[in-house]
Amino acid sequence: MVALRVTDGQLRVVGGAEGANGQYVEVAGSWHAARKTPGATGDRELEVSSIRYSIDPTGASPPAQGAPITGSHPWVTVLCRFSDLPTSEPHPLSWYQDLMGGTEPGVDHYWRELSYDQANVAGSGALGWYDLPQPHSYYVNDSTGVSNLQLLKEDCAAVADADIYYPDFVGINFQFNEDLAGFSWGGSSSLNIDGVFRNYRMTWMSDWADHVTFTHEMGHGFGLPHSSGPYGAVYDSNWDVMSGAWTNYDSFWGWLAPHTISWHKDILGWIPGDRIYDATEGSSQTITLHRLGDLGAGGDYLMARIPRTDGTFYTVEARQFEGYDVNLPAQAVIMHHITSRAFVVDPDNNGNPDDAGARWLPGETFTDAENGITVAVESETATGYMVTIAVTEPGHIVLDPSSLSFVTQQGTDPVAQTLTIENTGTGELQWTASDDVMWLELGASSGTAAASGSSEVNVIVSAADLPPGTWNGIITVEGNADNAPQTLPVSVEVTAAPVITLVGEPIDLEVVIGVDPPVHEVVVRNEGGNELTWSASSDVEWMTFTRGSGTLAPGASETDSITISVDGLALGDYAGTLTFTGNAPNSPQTLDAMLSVVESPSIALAGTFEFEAYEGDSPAPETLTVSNDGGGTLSWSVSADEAWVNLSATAGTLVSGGNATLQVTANGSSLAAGTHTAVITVSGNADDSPQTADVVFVIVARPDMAPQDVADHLMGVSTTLSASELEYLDDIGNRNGDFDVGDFRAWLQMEGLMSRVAPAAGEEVDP
Amino acid sequence: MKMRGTRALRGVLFSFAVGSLFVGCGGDDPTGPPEPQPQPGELRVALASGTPVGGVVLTVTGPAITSPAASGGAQLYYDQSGGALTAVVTGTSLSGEILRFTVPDVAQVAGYEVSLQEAAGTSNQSLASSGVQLSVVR
Repeated sequence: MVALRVTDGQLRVVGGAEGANGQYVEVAGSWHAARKTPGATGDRELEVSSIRYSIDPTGASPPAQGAPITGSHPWVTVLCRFSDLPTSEPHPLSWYQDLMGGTEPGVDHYWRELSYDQANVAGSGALGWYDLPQPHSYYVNDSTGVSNLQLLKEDCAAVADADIYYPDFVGINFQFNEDLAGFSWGGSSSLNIDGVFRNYRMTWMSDWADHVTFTHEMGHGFGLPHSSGPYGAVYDSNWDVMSGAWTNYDSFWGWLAPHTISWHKDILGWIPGDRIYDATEGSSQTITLHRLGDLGAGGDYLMARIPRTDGTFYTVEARQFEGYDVNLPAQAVIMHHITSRAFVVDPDNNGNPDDAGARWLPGETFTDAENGITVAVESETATGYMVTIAVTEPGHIVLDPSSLSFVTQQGTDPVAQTLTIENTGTGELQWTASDDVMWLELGASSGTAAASGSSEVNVIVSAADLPPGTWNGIITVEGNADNAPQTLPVSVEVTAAPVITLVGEPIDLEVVIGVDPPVHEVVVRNEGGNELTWSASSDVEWMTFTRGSGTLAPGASETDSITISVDGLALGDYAGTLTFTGNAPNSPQTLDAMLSVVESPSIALAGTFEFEAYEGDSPAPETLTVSNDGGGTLSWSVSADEAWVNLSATAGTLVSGGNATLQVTANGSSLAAGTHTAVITVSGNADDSPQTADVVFVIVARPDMAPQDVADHLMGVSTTLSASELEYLDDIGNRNGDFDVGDFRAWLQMEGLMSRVAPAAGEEVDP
Repeated sequence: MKMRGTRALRGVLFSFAVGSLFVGCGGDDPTGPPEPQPQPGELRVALASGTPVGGVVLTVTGPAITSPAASGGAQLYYDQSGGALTAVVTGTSLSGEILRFTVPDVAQVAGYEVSLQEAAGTSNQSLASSGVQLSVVR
C-alpha cells in the first residue's frame, strides 16, 4: 500500500475524493519519506503531480463507488483473532450476524432507512472467529500507531477463505479482537483471492467497533467522506454518522448511528432530483424541507443547495427525531458548507457544531452577506421546516486603480489614497476588504455597492516606522461577486530621511554686565541619508545667528556662530532657546541657553610676604588669599615676576564672596645675601584686575667663624663671638635661645667640620 | 685573677727593687721598705647614657694632664689654660671612651675627676646632665 500526497484540486480531475473513491487512477509524482500519521504504512509516500482515470489493470470491474448506491450490496464480516489472543472475542459471532441483518438496528435495516429503501446490504453475513497466524504486534505497532492494513486483510481473508467465496460480496468487514492502534478503518481496497483480483469495499474493525463504527466505516466503503464542524476536528458533529455521532447509546449495540447528511445522501443518489431545491442567483423562494429521517410523501424538498460565489455551496436540511435520527442533538434546520467535504455552518464559532449556534430554528436567519445569501427559517411543520432562501444577484468587482503606489520619506506617513470598489455586476455587491501587512490600514473593511455603483475606501499607509526600502502588500476585496476575490497590490517606497544633529554644549554663561561673551559655536550635522535643509531661530533678542540656515548633504556638517549681546540686559538670569528645524523626521532640535548677567568680580589679596633666611636656606611659606569681593564668578590667574617665588596654584575661579588660599614660597637656594624683592600679580575678569602683592626676601650672610673660637666660647675660654654670631649658632642649632654644645655640633655639621668616624670597638672601655 | 697577678708582679719587682736599692741608694738604711715608683700613662674619660649623646662639654681636674685626645673618632676641642682640662667632645654618637689624656702616674687615677658642663643629643638637642655619666678610668 502506498500513501499518496494529493490535493483537493488534483482530485477534482477524477471527480473529487468521493468520485475517485474505489476507482483506478494513474498517478505520477515524486517520492518522499513517509509522514508519521495514522494509517501510514509505508516508509515512503508519493507526492502526486498528476492524476487521471485508469482502466482496471486486472480487467475486473471495480464496485461502483461514490454514486449511486442502489440495490443490494452484500458484505461479509470476517472475525479474526490474533495468535497471541486466541480466546479474546469482543462479541460472539451471533452479535455480528445480527448486526449485519435486516432487523433494526442491523445494518441492512439501517442502510435501507438511510437510502429510503433504495439500497440494502441484503445477503450479508458474518463468520468466525478465525485465528490469525501472527500475534497482534505483528500487524499493529502500538508505539507508532500504525496498523498494517495490508497484512491484516490478507491474513484475515486467507484464514477464512475455506469458508467464504469473496467475489460473491461487494464488501468485507474485517473484525479483529484487539485495538488497531486507536482506529477502525473503512474504504476500498483490493484483494486477490478465490482466483479473482478485484477491489472490495472494505473495513478494518478494532475490537471496540459497535453499530456506529460499522455504519461509519461501511459509509466510507460506499464512498462517503467525513463531515465535521468547521473547527479542524473530524469526529465533532453529531448530525452525521460520517462524523462523531455519539448521542444514541444502546447497551447491546453500543452507539447507534444517526442518518448521514443530505449531501452524502445525494452523493449516493438517494435523494430524487425533484426533492432537491437549487437556489439561483437573484432568487428568493420559500420552500418546505422534509426531514431527512424519512422520505415522506413528496411534494417538498429533502435538501436545498445554495451556490456561493467562490464555487462552493451550502446545503440546507431538516432534521427531526425520526428513525435513526431519534437521538439527534436537537430538531432543527442544519446547514453545511460543502467544499471538498461538508462542514457544519456554526456562526457562533464556539467549537461546538451541535449546539444552538448550528441549529436554525423558526425566526432565525442565516446571513452570508459576502455571498448575498440568506436562509430564514419561517416555521416548523410536522415533518420538517419551511425556509426562505434568497440569493442576490452577484456583483462584479472592479478595483480602481488596479494598484497603489506610495512614496514617502522615512519617518513620515504618505498622503492617503482612495481605492474605488466598483460594482459592474447586476446585483448589489456586499464587499469586504482586508490587507496582509501591518503598515496598511483601510478606511473601511466592508460595505455595499449597488449595481453599477461603487464604494470608496481610504487607503492609509503608516510608514513612519518603516526602514528605507520598498514595501509591498496586498489588499483583497471579497464579496458576492462573480469574480471575487480581487486583489490590489500596494507598494510604498520609503526613502532615507535626513537627520538633524547638533554638536555643541548647551549655552550656560555668566557674563559681566555690559560685557559680551565670546561667540558660541554650534555644529549642525546631517546624519541621515538624504539632503538636509535647515534653519535656525532664537526666541530671544540677545542671541543671533551668523548663518541661520543651510543645506547639508548626508554626513556633512557645518558650523554656525551664535552671538550673544548683553547690551541693555540688566543684572539677572535669562533663558532662551535656539531651535533648528529642517526636513528631518527628528526636526526640530533645540539648544537651550542660560545667561546670567552679573556684576563685575573684584580681586582682593591678603597676605604679607616678607621672608628672611640665611644664605642657602628657604624660609617657611606664607599664605596668599585671593578673594572675589565683587559679583559673578571671578576667573583669576596668578604669577610672580621672580623665579625664586613659587606659588602653589596658578589659576582658579571664585564665586562672589569666595576666596582661595595659595602657598607662597621663597626659594633662597640660589640667592646671594642681601634683600630681594618680587611682585605677585593676580589677574582676572574683574574691573580692578590686576592686583599685586610685594614680596621681600632678606638673605642673611652666614658668619665666618673659626671652630676653635667657637669652641673656646662654648668652653668659656673666650667670648670673642658677637651676639649675632651666637644668635646665628642657636638659629642653626637647637633654637633654645642659648648657645650650647648642640648648637656647636650643628654648626660643625653644617660647615662639614664634624668627624664622621665611628669609634673603634677596641677603644671602648668600661667605666 | 687580679689578686693572683698582683702578687706575682710584686715578687718580681721586689727582687729588682732590692738590687736597685743596693746599687742606687747607698747604705744609710739598706734594710728599709722600698718606695713606689710613679707609672706614667693614659687615663680615659668614659661616657654612659641611656640617650644617644652627640656632644659634651666637660672638665677634667687632676695633676699634670697632658696630651688630651679624642677617642673613637670623636672630635675634640680643649683648653688647659686654667690648670684643668676643659674639652668639647663631639661625635656621631658618643659612648664608652670618648677622651684620653696622659698623666705622670696612672696609679693616681683617683686624683682625677671629670665633671659634665653640658651635653647634647645626636639631634643637637640639649640633654639633662643627670642623664649622662662620666668617669675617669685607667
